[in-house]
Amino acid sequence: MKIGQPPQRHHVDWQLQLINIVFLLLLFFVITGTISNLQDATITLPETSERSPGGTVAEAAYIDADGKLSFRGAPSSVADIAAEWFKEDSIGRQVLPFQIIADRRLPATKLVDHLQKFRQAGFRNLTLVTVRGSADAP
Amino acid sequence: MRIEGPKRVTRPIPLTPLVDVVFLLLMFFMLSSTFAKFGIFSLGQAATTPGSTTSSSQAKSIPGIIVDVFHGPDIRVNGQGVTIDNLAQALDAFEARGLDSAIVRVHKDADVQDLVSVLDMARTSRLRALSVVQ
Repeated sequence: MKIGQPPQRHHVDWQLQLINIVFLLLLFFVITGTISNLQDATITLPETSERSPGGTVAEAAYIDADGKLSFRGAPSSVADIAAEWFKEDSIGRQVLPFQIIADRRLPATKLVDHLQKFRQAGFRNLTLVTVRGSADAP
Repeated sequence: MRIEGPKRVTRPIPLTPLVDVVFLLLMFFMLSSTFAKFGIFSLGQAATTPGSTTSSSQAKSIPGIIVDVFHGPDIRVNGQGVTIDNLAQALDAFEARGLDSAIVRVHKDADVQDLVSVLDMARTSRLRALSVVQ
């Protein structure tokens, strides 16, 4: 009796398909996301409309919901921040925008207090980092 | 004697290490990226740019508009209650009468979100200057 040859197994390369999908996911995250360099995850940023200009977070002073100020990851004061910030280039840095990241639950009077202190310390161009649109805060 | 050269072996690209690396990259980008769009809200450049100034040291024109901000945001423009959606309209009505700068007065119970919403809305009006006091 003649037995026919076993039917050829169709070899499917699953790995190739897997890597295709993973590459697609990778591209998606690279393109849509911006790398977050918020140093304090407990702060929820205030929301603004889409009208305000967008931007990226640079080195900033953080003010948490209790009004505590921190800079470069450590509790700080306005005078210390000014001393560090103006150490290298005191004239050029006065007009550079300086970012402040304040919690949305911080009493506004405390923010105004801080802003006045920053202005007295020589910061001429203060900006506040917000989240645009109604997206969830990071 | 003829010696044959080494046989050319055509190996397929090793996919497993590639997948490992790509997975690591994927993990990194998933964990480190955020989809939030950050906005940069100007808090004023000490009396240089008209329109969007939020400086506390401006005494060029006498402001005739006082915007009180309470929690909510609960807004009073010169004593009259205004909703956030009508704020720009209310301020434009004052601007039409010749008052072009306003003082935003924040009260104790207002938080940063209230202040930012009010300033954001007030900047859509035709007022030339806004200053914030407490």
